[in-house]
Amino acid sequence: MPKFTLNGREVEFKQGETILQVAWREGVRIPVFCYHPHLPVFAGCRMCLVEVELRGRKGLLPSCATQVSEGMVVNTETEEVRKARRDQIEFLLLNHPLECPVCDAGGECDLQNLTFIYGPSESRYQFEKTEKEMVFAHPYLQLYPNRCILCNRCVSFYQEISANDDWGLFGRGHDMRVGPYRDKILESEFSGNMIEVCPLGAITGRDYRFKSRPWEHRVINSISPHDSIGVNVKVYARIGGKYSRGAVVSGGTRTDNHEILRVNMRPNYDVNDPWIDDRTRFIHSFVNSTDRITQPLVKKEGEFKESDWEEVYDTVVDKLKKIKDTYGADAVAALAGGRGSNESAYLFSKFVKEIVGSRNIDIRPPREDFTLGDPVFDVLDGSFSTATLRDLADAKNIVVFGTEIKETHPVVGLKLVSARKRGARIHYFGKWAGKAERRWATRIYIYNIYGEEEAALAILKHASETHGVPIPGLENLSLQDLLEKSGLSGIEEAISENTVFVFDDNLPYLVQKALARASVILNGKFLLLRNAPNGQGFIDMGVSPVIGKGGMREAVPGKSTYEIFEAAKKGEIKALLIYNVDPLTEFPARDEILDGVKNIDFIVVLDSFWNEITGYADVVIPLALHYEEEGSYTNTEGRVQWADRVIQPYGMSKEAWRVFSDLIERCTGEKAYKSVVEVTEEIVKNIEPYRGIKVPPGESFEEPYPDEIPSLKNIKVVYRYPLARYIASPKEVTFEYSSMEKREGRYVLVQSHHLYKTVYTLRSESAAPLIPYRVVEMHPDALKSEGLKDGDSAVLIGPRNQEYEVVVRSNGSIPENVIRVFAPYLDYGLNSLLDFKGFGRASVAQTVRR
Amino acid sequence: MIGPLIKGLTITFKYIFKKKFTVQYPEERRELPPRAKWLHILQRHEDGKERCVACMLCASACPTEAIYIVGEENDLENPISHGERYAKVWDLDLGRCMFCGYCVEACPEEALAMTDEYELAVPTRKDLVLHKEDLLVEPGTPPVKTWLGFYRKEPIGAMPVTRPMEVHVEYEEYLKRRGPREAHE
Repeated sequence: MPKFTLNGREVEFKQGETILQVAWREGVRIPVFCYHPHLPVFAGCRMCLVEVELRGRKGLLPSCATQVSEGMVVNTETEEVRKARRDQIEFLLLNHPLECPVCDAGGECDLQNLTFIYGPSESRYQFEKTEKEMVFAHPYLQLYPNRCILCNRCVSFYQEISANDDWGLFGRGHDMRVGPYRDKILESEFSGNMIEVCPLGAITGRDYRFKSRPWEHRVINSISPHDSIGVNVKVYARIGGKYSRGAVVSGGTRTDNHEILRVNMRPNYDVNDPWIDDRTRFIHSFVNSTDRITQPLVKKEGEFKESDWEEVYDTVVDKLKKIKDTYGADAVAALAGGRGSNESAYLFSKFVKEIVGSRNIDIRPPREDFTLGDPVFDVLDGSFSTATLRDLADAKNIVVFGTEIKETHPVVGLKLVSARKRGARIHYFGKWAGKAERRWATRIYIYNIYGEEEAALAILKHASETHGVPIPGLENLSLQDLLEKSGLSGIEEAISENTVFVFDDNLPYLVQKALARASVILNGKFLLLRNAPNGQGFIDMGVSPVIGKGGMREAVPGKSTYEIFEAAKKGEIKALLIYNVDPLTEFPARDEILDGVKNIDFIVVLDSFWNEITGYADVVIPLALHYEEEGSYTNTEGRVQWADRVIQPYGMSKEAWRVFSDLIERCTGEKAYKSVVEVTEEIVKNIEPYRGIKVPPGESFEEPYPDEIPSLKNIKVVYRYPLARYIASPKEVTFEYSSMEKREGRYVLVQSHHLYKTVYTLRSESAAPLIPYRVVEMHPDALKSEGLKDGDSAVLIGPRNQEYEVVVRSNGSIPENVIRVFAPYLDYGLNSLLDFKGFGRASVAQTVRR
Repeated sequence: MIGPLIKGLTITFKYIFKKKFTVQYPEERRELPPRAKWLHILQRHEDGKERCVACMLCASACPTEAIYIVGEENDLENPISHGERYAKVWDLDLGRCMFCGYCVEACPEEALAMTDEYELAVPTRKDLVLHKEDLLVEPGTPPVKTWLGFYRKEPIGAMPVTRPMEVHVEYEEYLKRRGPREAHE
């Protein structure tokens, strides 16, 4: 290995390493402002100057941008270097206001710390400092241009990593500043990362604003509850009582105990390196929502009566036993929302499948075609993704099919951006494509609104023709026919050997099955994005009508969600357990579901929030939320991650695993589990893919960043979690295809997703400015023909003359005959207009202006 | 035997005609030294705004963790303190406080001072927790020199404290004063 001299010491280096990287690794401290290990090198702050001597020439060079070469003599502690650092800090402080007591970054400010270590004690600048105007850029960001030292970190994050262009550096000299280019809310769904990338308090978060100081709270490792990527986060919380650190006042009342103050990133190079999305970062106030259920309730004579745990357990066990004895176990059904830990899911599945003996258990939305089975399971004999998120960044050819990545799984977008930067070809197939897709897609294919299945089958057909693999059931279909029906052309370019497919599990059965089969034929991989936050974990634990514990096929399949409600309509379902899901506001076809729900004798709702289904419940059990329980969570690629408990459960609510464990104890007489780790140990013993996995608390290693730089110290410890070991055994499958009938009507309603419209955001006050509340989106031309403008309120008229007051927004990327509606439907009952596939029809009328 | 008795009584008689040490508390009170460190007060600026900006340095300096603060954003129209933030909650638990004065030493805004108010007995423990309303001085009260500043020559307010938010107006005036060339930029 080549060597060079660092502070009089012979040091080995790898070719291409910079002086800074080697020095930090060797424990030599070099201060930096603009250098960030996950961002491109800018070399603008001049704080990392070191004395370099090479071939008789000597001078100060920025160590972050200078590569080491053989025979170099580097000195980091000479008088000249020290003077350069001192003067540089004096320059940076020229226009930096000394408002540390007011600044939110006080205590975790790079400039504060480095000034203490390297800076001068006094400033010689005697003039007024420049004052720059504050800018409104985002409801959650506060930008102070006065404090900015123009290190360019936020700009390089925003433009290079997030690949958006509405934030930049402009102006000259003293007037130079960073900021948004336009007077609009920032486009990126990752803008919150700029807070942490900023070395000082120039960009601060509004959710954490002035509430606390960094040394006061407890920091707990957790996982994002918002999507199935399982982004790793650090949660900063203020906790009262014996859990507190920092000031405690004895005797005084404290209303703001148990508060989550902010959520920061926790690096995990397999999942999020280290960036997290804004939804994860800013949406956390739902834990103290006024919608929380605080007490177990039992309905007596049509009214909820406050109850205790004993009575609730007795009621549930007695009623279920009675129903099971009279009607058989098949009259009991259970639904889950996929929000909860693996431990909760394991005991939920154990309770329903083993204790009650019913296989009517599902986490999927009520799609008619999901009654056919689990699509990926039918192809691979196991329901999991074959690709990891890392594969995505290394792949050469990627096909993203039908998934609005920005709205449902934003972090996958970052992986796609970096894949494109590396030269990958990314093909996006969708009903429409917006600016978010254009950030990473190299080519966009738009299929007809009703041509989704045909588009996927065309991909499969093309793959089978090029590879000479016959597909049973598709022999009679020609590729030309499928392409015509889906309205696509030129898909040959998108499909090549080793293609990585990305699609989500809410797509039609045929689409998922075709893409999974195509990836097998092409020797490629696929990433199945679960829509439920812990969807993969729930499936692995056997919360599925067709898949048992650990991925075994159930001998007698149970009823899927759709079948459960159909059977309930006929009166075949007598008891329904609903765990963390609201079928009336989260699923389409509300009226059909409501018919079924009204027919069920006994409904147990286990949830954290009041919602519509709780009104129809006979027993309501309050559950602890994600941040209030500890447990393992399996992300969409099968990585088993661990989240610690952040705060105590609200009111009388209990963790779900504790509730199921108590219920199991009552039914069987087995002793209840004492701690969550006991359940985890049982999972690791019993579930095949998880066998031998060491779950809590995961491994970690440290990067050699200096401790005196808080913005780097926060990302110093990198975590690693193991992957579950799934075994795929692909087999030949038959396809049954029948074309979908089209609907009549002026407009087609299409169910869609929005980043800030989820069960959690609708319960967070802080999210209010970003939630599309009662909003539907229409094409600008359609708006014009209806005489409406962007932001007008209008009335949506359904086929049976139902009226819904909505706000229309213009969106140029959707087709002209489409109205885009956002699930869940807590704010408008629009799901009455949709069928089980998420389509509906409506016309639009203007409201009478007041 | 008689010798020590006389020796003792000599001292008694020596003091019997001198001025008495005993103070008839509470009718009579002794004047405390200028650096007495008793009950805290939260001071105000001359314009009546609170000096405290909820920087939480006192809370973190406190060895007994007796201070609890929650900051909040100022209403720009009607600010409570200078700068952007103010203390929504400023609680002091006298049951924990040991009057070391580190909090006063830490305060960068010279908001916190200690007075010679030492009659702090209360009937219950709960009453020992003082809130911001109990500690804040009336507007117009002259500033108290903190015990730390006793040796300092500068008057109170000479330290770089947070300026009121109207400062950008001053800056515009300054721009006008700068003359034509700079104004053109």
